[in-house]
Amino acid sequence: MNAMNPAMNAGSEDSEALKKQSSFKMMLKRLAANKLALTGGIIFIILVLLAVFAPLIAPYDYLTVNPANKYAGPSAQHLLGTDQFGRDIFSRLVWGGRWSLTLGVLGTAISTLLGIVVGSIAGYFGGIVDNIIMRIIDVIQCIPGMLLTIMISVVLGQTFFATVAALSFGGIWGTARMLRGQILTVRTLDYVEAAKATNNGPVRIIFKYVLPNSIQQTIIHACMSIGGQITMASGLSFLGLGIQPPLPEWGAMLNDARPFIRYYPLMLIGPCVMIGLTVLSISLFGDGLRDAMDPRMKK
Amino acid sequence: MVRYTIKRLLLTIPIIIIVAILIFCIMKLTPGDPAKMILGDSATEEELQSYREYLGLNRPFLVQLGEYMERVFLHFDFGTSWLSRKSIAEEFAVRLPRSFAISCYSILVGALFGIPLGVLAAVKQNTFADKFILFLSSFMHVIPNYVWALILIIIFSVKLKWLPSYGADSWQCYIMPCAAIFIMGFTGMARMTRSSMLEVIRSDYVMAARAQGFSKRSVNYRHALPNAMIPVITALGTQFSHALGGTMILETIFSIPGTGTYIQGAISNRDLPIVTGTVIILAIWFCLVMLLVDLLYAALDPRIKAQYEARNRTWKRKEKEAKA
Repeated sequence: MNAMNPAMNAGSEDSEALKKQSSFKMMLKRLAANKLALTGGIIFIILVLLAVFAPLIAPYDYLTVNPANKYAGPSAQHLLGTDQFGRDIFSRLVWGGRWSLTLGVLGTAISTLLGIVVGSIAGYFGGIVDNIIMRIIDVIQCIPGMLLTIMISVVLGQTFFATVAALSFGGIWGTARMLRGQILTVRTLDYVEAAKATNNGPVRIIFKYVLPNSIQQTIIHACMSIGGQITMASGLSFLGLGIQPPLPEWGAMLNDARPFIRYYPLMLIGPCVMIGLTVLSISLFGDGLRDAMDPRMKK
Repeated sequence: MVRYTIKRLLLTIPIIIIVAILIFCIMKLTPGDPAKMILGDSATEEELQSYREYLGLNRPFLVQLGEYMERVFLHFDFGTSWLSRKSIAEEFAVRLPRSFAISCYSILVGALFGIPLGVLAAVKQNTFADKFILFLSSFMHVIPNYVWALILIIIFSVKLKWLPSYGADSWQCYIMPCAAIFIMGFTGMARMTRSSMLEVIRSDYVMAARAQGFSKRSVNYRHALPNAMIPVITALGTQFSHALGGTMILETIFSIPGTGTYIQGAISNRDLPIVTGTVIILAIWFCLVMLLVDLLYAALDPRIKAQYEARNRTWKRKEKEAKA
């Protein structure tokens, strides 16, 4: 919270230099100095670019079957070989990023936005509103997250947007609970009182005074949870829910390849590496972001 | 403390009831006709109709809900599966030990390795050991356990042929599922212990202990460690609370007939009594574990215990005032 305010951070650093820099720029500077975080960020950007430019990068279409060339090993034509229908695995992995990454990012974005709405209502208004919202969250958090996501996915069906909705629903409550806790400490501070006294409406106070000073952890949490959402999305398709074959979502590819694990494990390694690389890069970047946003937390 | 425990136990009752209603409603919303799922496509319209009658599906929604709630919460009867006609409580009891064993062993062994590693990393901060542990945990902890499970299967049962890749007949079958959870768990534990320990080591009371001339060992292990355990216990509690339902994907991969596969199969078959019944059991388990975690806090941290006692005193005072 205080990290937002450069004056509070002055400490040992040169206060003259601090005046010229916004806290955001300082954060970027600290982030750029962290090599691990930078590596994570670059890997993630490469993965995103691969997905965006999939039609240009992938040598084959992700659906074209070629019965004459099944289970081919890696070769110059097929970098990672072909699967049980003769589809090029490399091309499918490149295309698959489109589904896996958008599911992760969209799921996180929607759940974070709704979490912010729910959390700020509970935290700012307090009293009975807070009590009701927190009891609802208690109830929902009693049910294991994966189970809840699976059930909602079954109810809503197996389309792309249904999967996004199922993923988002699971993520709202943790965010809301965390933000509420942060808001509770901020809302009694003097400047919020002052804002109330000068006749600002609750929406304006929340957006202008309360959220900027309490949202930091939520941003870090959101950034970290993209990885979790991708894991969850792939897990869903791995169980046969979520994105359905023949679409090349990484989890769906794993599920497709599972029967062949004895004879042709190469089919599984590709999606495993892609999922692993994605969550790893996000986690490295998220760690760096946390350290950069709040230098006091750096150990 | 006793009073607090009883109050918490009573508070779980409405939570469980609401969970039950919620799950019942969600399952009712799922598309697909249960009668058709059970009898298959060849069934005639009359057969379907009579089967629906038999399951009680033609009655109003609220009547079904009410009867279900009465049976579960007043008679503690979870009913029978629509599909297999077997008693849900019995089936669950058979499957429970398998899932429980996988979760418990991997979490306990994870804590056994993870906590000392975390303490080591914190005490020797910025040395090679610390950096190595951080490096390990940075990738082991984030990669999902089903990916680890598949990698383990490829190495140990496809390539080396040492371990069976499916089933639950012998103890060897449990090694890989446990290992997959363990890989994620122990590194996460180490990470959490390290950061919590570092925070405590810098606090004033540890500084005070050091100033009083206690040896480094005594300061680290007697003064800092117990206080650093609070977030670690929360994490352990969360892991245990999801022990029964959280291993769904792993159980599917290793074809282990545990509670996870039970619920997952029931969800895809629209077997409403199984889903509702097992989720109620999972929710009760969750509430109990969380209560235990809170009680452990109080046992470990005198500050928290003092808070409870202070609250108790205010209650007693208020009661006296009310009487007077």
